[in-house]
Amino acid sequence: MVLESKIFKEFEDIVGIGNINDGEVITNTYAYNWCMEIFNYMEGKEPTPFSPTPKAVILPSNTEEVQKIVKLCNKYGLVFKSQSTGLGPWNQPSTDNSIIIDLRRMNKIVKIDEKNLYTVIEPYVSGAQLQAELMKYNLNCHMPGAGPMVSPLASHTSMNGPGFTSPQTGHSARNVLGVEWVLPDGEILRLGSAGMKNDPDWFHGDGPGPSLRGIMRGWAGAKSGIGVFTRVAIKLFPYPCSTDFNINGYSPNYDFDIPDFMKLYVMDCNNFKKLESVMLRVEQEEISFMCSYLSGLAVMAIFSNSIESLMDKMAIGQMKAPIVVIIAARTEREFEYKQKVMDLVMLEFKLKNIIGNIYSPQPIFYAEALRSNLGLHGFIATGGFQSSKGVADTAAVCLKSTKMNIPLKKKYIKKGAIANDFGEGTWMTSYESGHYFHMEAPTMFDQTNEHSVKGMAEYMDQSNQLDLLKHLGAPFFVEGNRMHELFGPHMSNYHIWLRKIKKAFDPNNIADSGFYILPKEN
Amino acid sequence: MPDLNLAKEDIRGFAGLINNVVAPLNENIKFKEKFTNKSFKILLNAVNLNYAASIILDHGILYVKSIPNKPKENLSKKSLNWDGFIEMDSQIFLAIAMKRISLIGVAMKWLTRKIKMRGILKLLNLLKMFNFLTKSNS
Repeated sequence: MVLESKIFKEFEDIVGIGNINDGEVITNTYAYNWCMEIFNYMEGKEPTPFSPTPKAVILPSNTEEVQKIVKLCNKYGLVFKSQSTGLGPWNQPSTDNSIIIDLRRMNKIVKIDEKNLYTVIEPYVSGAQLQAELMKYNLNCHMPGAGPMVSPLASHTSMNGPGFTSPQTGHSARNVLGVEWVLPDGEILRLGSAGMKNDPDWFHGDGPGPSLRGIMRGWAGAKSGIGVFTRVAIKLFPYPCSTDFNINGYSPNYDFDIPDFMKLYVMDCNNFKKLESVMLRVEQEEISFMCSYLSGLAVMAIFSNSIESLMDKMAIGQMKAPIVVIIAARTEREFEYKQKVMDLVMLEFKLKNIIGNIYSPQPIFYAEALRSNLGLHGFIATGGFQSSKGVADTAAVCLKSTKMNIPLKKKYIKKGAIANDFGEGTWMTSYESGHYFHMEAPTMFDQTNEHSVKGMAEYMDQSNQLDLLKHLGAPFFVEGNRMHELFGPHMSNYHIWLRKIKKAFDPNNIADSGFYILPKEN
Repeated sequence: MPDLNLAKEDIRGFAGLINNVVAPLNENIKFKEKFTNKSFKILLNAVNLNYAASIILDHGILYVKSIPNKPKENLSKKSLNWDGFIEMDSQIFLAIAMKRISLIGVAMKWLTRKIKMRGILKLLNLLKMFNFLTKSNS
């Protein structure tokens, strides 16, 4: 299906020739995305990696063009799905009566306010680009676990947002300041201080009057189901150590001069009870840049760049409950203090650091940690990877969820559907010095094998059911009508309110609700 | 006395993996001290893969050689003169190497023929060797 030529022309008049395409090659390419096959199968469809094909793809260059596009969608009853850097099924339309608004031409860092510690960015600025610029000011930004290639705007306005540096930089939802938002009816709304009549600026995310931040994104974001975000201000943080990067060599085995005041600890706590105590203790001291629990296999993976280099670290994989901590500092004095605190914690809990004793990682590991680039290692074993779970709660609940998931995962390992991580595959991180915690269960599968894809989808479905029945918190992927209606009645009927929000902002359902909620009950 | 050129050979498949795992032991001082007077040859075969690993210890120096595991005769004691032999699928090997299976579990798998072993006393040396992988070199 393509757009009527008259409608195509109207869109083209907005963005200019060459910035809209309804050709088969382009639209079918945009219908593909990583892990689409799992979500298709979970929704009772064929496990192919393609979503419905959009009628066209359009590339606006500024907010006014986005506004005009959305208004035109309303005029012709076309659904729009917007995307920034476009990683994952959340960027895909749920209907073929749709167009994709690809925001890649909106790629500017609008402002870096080093004094007030915030930056204003457009949708197609990647985390890597932003961080590289911020480092010039000795500053850093929060990046989600997905990695530095994704859009901080998307993460902060529309998606989940735990990251490897969450002990220091928190969660995406917690870092949003002023927002520029094209509503589903085409109106432009500026949240926080960006919406002030006099001297608008981006430094604050709430008000004037009641804050709309919860409506805008809540915990997990609306994935374009409530409009298009065209600019966002996000909080910045001091860079944890020196920003003088010295890198040589070739990908992926670059040489990197490890910053002077940076140290890695990998310690086996042996069991989850002790792990919980150690994580809470380390975070109580507010010294970590990274503080994660990773399963044995996951620790092997973060130090590896190939299947061969993964498997030769089996001795590391013997750890039953490893904690990975990175401390970093700007000055020698600060570094010494943090090391002393870690020494005391290790003494208190009788822990041994394997780094420098049994194993010394390649220096590139430290660069990847600083660049929030550890998530990519999840793909090494099988090429395919997705996480189940995604709870945000206490350390105890996160570890309970980890434990309860092991037998379920083993069932699908036995079936040969997912890779063998002994059911333990987990990443858990503290947020904001241990005020709360995140846990997800990275799972490796083979995207090219139907048995594996179906098994992975069934496992994720079962994992969601387990979370519901055993009160393990809401997983990442409670999205779309079916899932909200499944979880809502068990969680204060939040889905009724979510639907009211959708109805108020988008009664005609022009913003694709595939990963949000329909304005009316099914 | 093993052929010293073995270390330079292309070590394939499962044997390559084993080589990567045990190679650091040649740098481990404590390991050298403990095994300097010992020599033996142990064959490790992962039935679902294509190459077996022949682990050769020669007075504290380790070598690994890859042996095509088909036909079965390639792995016979007669042709390779091994002192110990252990065979299982790669998943069980992984579970043992990462200590995710108990001794009782290993015994059960041995009883159900999922693990086959010959020369058990020599195989204990292998366990002792692997223990050095989790100990500090200092």
